[in-house]
Amino acid sequence: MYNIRQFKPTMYFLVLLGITGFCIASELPGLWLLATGAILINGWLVMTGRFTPMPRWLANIITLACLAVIVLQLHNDDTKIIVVGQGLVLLQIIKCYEQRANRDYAQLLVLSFLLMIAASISTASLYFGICFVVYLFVSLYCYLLFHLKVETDQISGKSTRAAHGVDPAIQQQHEHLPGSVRRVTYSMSAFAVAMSAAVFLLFPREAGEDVLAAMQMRGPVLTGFSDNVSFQKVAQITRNDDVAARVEIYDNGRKMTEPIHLLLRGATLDYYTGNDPSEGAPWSWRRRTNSLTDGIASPDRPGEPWNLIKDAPLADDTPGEFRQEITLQPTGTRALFAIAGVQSVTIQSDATINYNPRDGIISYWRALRSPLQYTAVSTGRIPNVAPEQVNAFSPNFYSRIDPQIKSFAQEPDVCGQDAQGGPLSAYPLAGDHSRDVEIADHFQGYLRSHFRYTLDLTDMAQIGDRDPIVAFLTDFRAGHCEYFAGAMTLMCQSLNIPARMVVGFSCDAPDFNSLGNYYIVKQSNAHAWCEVYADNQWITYDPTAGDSFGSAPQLGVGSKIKDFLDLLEFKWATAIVGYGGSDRRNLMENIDAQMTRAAVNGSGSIVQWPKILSVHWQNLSDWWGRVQWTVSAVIIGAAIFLVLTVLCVAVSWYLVERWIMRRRARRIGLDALSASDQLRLARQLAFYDELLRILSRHQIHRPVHLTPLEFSKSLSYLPGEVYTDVHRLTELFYRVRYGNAQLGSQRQRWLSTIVQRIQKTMDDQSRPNPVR
Amino acid sequence: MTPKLRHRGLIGLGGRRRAEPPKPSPTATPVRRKPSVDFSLTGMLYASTMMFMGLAAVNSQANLLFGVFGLMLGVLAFSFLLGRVTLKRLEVTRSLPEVAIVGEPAMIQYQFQNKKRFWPSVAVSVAELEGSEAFTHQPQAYMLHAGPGKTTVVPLEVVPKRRGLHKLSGYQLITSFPFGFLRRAWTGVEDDEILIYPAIGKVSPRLLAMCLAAEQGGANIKPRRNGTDEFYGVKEFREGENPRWIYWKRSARTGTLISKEMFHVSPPRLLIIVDTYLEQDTQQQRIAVEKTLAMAATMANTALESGLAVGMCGWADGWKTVPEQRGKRHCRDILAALADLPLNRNTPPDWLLQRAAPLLKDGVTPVLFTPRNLNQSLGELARGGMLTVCAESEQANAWFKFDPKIDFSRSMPASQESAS
Repeated sequence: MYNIRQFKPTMYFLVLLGITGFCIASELPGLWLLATGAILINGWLVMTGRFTPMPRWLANIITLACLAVIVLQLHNDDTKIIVVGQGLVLLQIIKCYEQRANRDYAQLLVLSFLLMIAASISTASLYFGICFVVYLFVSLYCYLLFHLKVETDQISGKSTRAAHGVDPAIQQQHEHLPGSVRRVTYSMSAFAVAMSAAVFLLFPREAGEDVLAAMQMRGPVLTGFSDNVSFQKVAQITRNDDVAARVEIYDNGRKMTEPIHLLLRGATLDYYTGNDPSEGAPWSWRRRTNSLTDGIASPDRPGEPWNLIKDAPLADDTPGEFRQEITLQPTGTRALFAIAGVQSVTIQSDATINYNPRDGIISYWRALRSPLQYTAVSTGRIPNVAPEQVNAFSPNFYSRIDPQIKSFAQEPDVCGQDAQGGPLSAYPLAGDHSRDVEIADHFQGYLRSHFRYTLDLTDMAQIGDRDPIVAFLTDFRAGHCEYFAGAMTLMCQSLNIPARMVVGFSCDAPDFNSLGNYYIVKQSNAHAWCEVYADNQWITYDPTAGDSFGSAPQLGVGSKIKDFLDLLEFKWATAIVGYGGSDRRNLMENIDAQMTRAAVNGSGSIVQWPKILSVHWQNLSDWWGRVQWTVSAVIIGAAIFLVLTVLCVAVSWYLVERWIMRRRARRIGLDALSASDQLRLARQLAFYDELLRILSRHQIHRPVHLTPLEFSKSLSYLPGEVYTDVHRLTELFYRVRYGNAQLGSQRQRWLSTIVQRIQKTMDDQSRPNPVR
Repeated sequence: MTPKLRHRGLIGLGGRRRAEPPKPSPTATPVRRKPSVDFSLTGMLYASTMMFMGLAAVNSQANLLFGVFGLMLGVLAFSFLLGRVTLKRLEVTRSLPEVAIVGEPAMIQYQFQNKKRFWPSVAVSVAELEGSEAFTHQPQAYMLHAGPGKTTVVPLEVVPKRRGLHKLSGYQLITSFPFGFLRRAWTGVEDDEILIYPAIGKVSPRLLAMCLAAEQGGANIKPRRNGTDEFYGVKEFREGENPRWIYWKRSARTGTLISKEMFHVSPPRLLIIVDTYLEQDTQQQRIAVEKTLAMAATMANTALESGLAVGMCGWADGWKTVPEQRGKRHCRDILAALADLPLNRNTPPDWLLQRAAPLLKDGVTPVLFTPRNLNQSLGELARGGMLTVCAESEQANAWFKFDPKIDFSRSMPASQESAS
């Protein structure tokens, strides 16, 4: 096959691969369907010979129109790179329908490459990565074919002997071209991949964002989580299973392989705006002082653990501490998540982390727009704060609590009753906070048992200007976790019990990847719960009814496959996408340490070699001195035995061989000759002896009155080839016996094969025919 | 067979150093010499794109972009290496035709022998650097593929432009494999020669007939005995003679054996006298001389193909005479002599006729080819048994038809053109 004709199918495949990769990156299945259909139709037209190129003027008009639309969209859309990519897809389609000459193919290839570059800027997905790698290999092959095609077309164009656009001399040179092209492609791919890996691992990394980074498709803001909770939007909240983070947990230095109920704290919200217009958006939760801006900033020591608690041990393998390796996807917020009681944080980049000791919240220095890896060590217990500090910053004075909420909280069924039958709410209102824990327990139990969890809030559109929490408590008695947590918080605050709402993530067994032993934290795991200050400590309460927010545990092959795919994504995210400057520094340091160690060991070894050698030699000498006599006796004895054995064997062999030769000589008829001649001729005429024996086995004996020649002529009843061979062997016998001819070893081997052939033929002939 | 040419492999970047070539004349064949390493436009675009990718990777810190940048760098580096490997251990053997004719396509064969054990050689061009002046275009052959240990023969059709003996010396192997980013070239030097005859066209049969009629003295046919062509007479049969020729009827009548005597028809002989004298060294006169030579060659070729015996006399830095003979080999000798005839600036044409006079034996028809227009009538041209052909005359242009593509202003040897 004319190999360069493979260029067009390869080019179409490459274009489709590029479009597929871009659509994976940009998550635009509709665009993929449209573009793939157009390209495939074009390919079918070209293959069947029905294709007519679009006029240039028409193509130019369409291109200009598309460019104008793209420019307009760029002004309006934040995801500029996606818009540019869509434009590139459109340009490729136009170019496919306009293709005429090699320059069109070149433009198509360049557009496809630019499209993949745009996609690689905008995403870090594993599936796109796989597609990208395949694309690169195919593109190398395609560009190779294209270059050959361009050159051969140029040559054929100048040739006067070209037929159908192809020079015959060039066409004849295609004999092994496919193999050569493949060989070059494989070698080049290997070399390019090695260089790519080297650049990837060793190229210096610098922190920083720029325009290109701003073109990245922003990670979707987690619909389940926000540091500003508002009830204004009452539409149904869509579940979103996008991965928000992956968390590996180590307990006492050992990776946890069994799932636990995981609560990752993100932000605390401690006062409710109510319907106060001065507070901004009504019916929303705020932080009295912004926990994401105040607090302590981390020192500029990337890669080193930052000890948040003074004098707290840095060792992360202390019993009772949980070390979390967290890979957080872009959230669009500054919140960082960790188990309660964060004691130290380690981050590999040069970024700054803030820590607020009041609520134990850690946060990033700016909104997170790229994946982040960090390590947090937590105790699992919210840090204790002195009561005066809690009271000093008590949000109770700031929340706008509807009186109906307070009334609701004071109901005995809700807050519980004391021994005398009175409501427990009276105690904190009277300044006695000894029953706060009981009250909180009752609140949690009541909400869990008397309220229903739901994500459908369309009924909430009917509340009008009413307080959503009031509506939740009094009318609907159903809602999502923010309502439960908000209601309990306000109920506590209405009774002067310090409380705050915490938003973060909650994970259970279904979210645990048993293959990689880590938690897959999805956006649908976003959760809100309540923390109440009682007995001089903050206690966590989760009043949300049931576990409707968690998915049912999945068993079977499907879940395993799912876990495996997620594990691949996880490894891709940590090893490839998350590879950063610290990883590179570690790699360089490891390489340097290895080389230094090898050099030191090597130099040490070189210096030690003479000593080692001398020691070994001394040992050998000592050993020889000990065993010298013994070994010598054994060796000499063995040598003597060997010599005697060889001698015996040789003599025996000689005698036996002579006996065999004499017998052969008798059989052949050499008795009358001298012993030496008998032996000589017997060795030379072994083939004739073998021939006679074969004939004897088939009951063919030489009569004594016939000479060997006469005997061979009398065998005319044998098959033709056998008769001929026998006759020729007999003539050779005569030449050796009487003509002093000498047969070399090679000739004798050849004669033995002839004799074997005779034997085989005669055996076949004598075998009875199978009965039909 | 012309001596084989061998490429000595890696001679070194740029090949053997040579003196600066003289300024080419307007009629010179353009020769393109490629530098040892050269970036093509595609390569520059690729390098620019690669640098942009590097900048984008550094600025965005997107790890995939680092990978892409590394990949592009690897491809560029591999292109650089592969170009070198492609030309390494690639032996080129040039097979020139023994002779060529101005204006007629000739085939040069280039044999590419790839001595590498593993790597193929793909997309390699060979271009002649020195000796291209002999042809209308610089000879360039393209080899698509030679597998490891394989040999590929690439024919190249060239059209000779100048007559004479031309030396092909330097040549260049060029490749831009695999992607056309980098163009690498190796220069080799090996001497070879090709002899190019003057242009040979078609001559009018009438002129040939005139040559035969113009023979002086006696019949055109000079018979020779012991031939088999025509009946000459009878004679007595002798022992040992061929009995086929026994004339039985006569023998029966006479009572003695009589045999027929046959003879060879001896065709006429031509002596071509070529006048290459330049009265004035002008372009027009040189064209006339070239036409003269072309006409003489055409005449000699046609006459020899017709079976005539042809000789030649002319000035070539000394008198050049070739006695009349027949046959293909003699044809080659005549044409080779004509191909190499230089311009005559010193010896007047009278001396040429004087020199040719002793060669004018019985049965030899002299034909003078001259570039000057003698303004003579047809009869005058054939007077005295010598036919004169004036190259610039209309009559001569009517007699001789050449390919219109032949440019006589550029068909003289380059050395004579530059000397003038």
